[in-house]
Amino acid sequence: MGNLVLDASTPATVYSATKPVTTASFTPPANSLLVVATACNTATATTTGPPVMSNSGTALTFTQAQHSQRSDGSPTCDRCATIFTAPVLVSAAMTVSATSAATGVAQAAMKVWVVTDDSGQLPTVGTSSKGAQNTGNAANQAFTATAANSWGFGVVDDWDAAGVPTAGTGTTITAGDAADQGAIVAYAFARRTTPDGSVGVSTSINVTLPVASANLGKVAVEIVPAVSAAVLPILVMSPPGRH
Amino acid sequence: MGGTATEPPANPDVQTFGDYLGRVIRITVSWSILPNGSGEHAITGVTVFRDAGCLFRKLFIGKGDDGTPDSTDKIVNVPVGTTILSAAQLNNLANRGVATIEDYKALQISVGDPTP
Repeated sequence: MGNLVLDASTPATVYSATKPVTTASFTPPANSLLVVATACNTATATTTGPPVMSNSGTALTFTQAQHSQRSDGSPTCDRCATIFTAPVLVSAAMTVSATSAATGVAQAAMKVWVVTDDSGQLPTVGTSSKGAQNTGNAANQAFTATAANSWGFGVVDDWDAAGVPTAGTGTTITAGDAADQGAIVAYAFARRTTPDGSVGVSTSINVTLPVASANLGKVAVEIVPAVSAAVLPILVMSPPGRH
Repeated sequence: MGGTATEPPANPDVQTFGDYLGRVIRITVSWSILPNGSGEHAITGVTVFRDAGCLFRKLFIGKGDDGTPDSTDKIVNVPVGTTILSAAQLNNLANRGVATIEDYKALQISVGDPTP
């Protein structure tokens, strides 16, 4: 069974006040999986769809895992948090861009994690979840793991921009992956500190807000090792002529 | 509050970036609280910092014609430790359109050029 690894080619988080937001060039290895999270500003009381993803060079296939938008909240909750994955089969230098779908505002932040499996095979995507909240300082997003040693990644988008979120229990926010962009949007790109998923067990991306938000969205995705004990069959064969 | 809400940038404005292990590279921009004739606020100083071992060595201010940060004409090489940009370096930025905090905040700030 392989083990998931966060690759050194992972680029830094980027924020832009204009469209699109674009990473600096990075070179993910072959058979790596890009886990791409975005936090976009939205116009007031406007439901905004996910951003449009693209990359330089040979086009990757970006698959949306989850998208949390205003109309998903009850009561409605201004924000736009999305998470995608994109397999990289051939290593090449590239940039990744996200063009926000918001009208009237353009600010967005993006995090690209480059995830590999030490077996050399391509990691896959397990389950995912999304949420919204209007109260409280705990901005946790849980999912039920589908594979042993899977890894949770997520994003919290605070439209109220009430301060810089911090990591909660079992969660890591790497330096530079959380910010408050001054009344525009505050965000945290977070992951489980280790690939600690356990089949059938609830796990959570835990984030704490300094001030409760009335407009917060959050999404999480489970990344699965290339070969997982949860799906590997055990086959016993008898030698011919012996029963 | 999001939407079109705005507030003045912090002074100094600090942008921090981390590599996959959390080693940081940082840019700190100080600016004058007194507006110029155009109502904008001149940049008065820029300090950069890089952790030993941080994989990112360059700060990209803005993007180039191809839309990527790496092709911008405003690149700051960041040595390990703390470096205060010289007056000549600040003039170079100003000559390339970054003279005020308003100029600066309108651009994407990113880092890259990881060591092999």
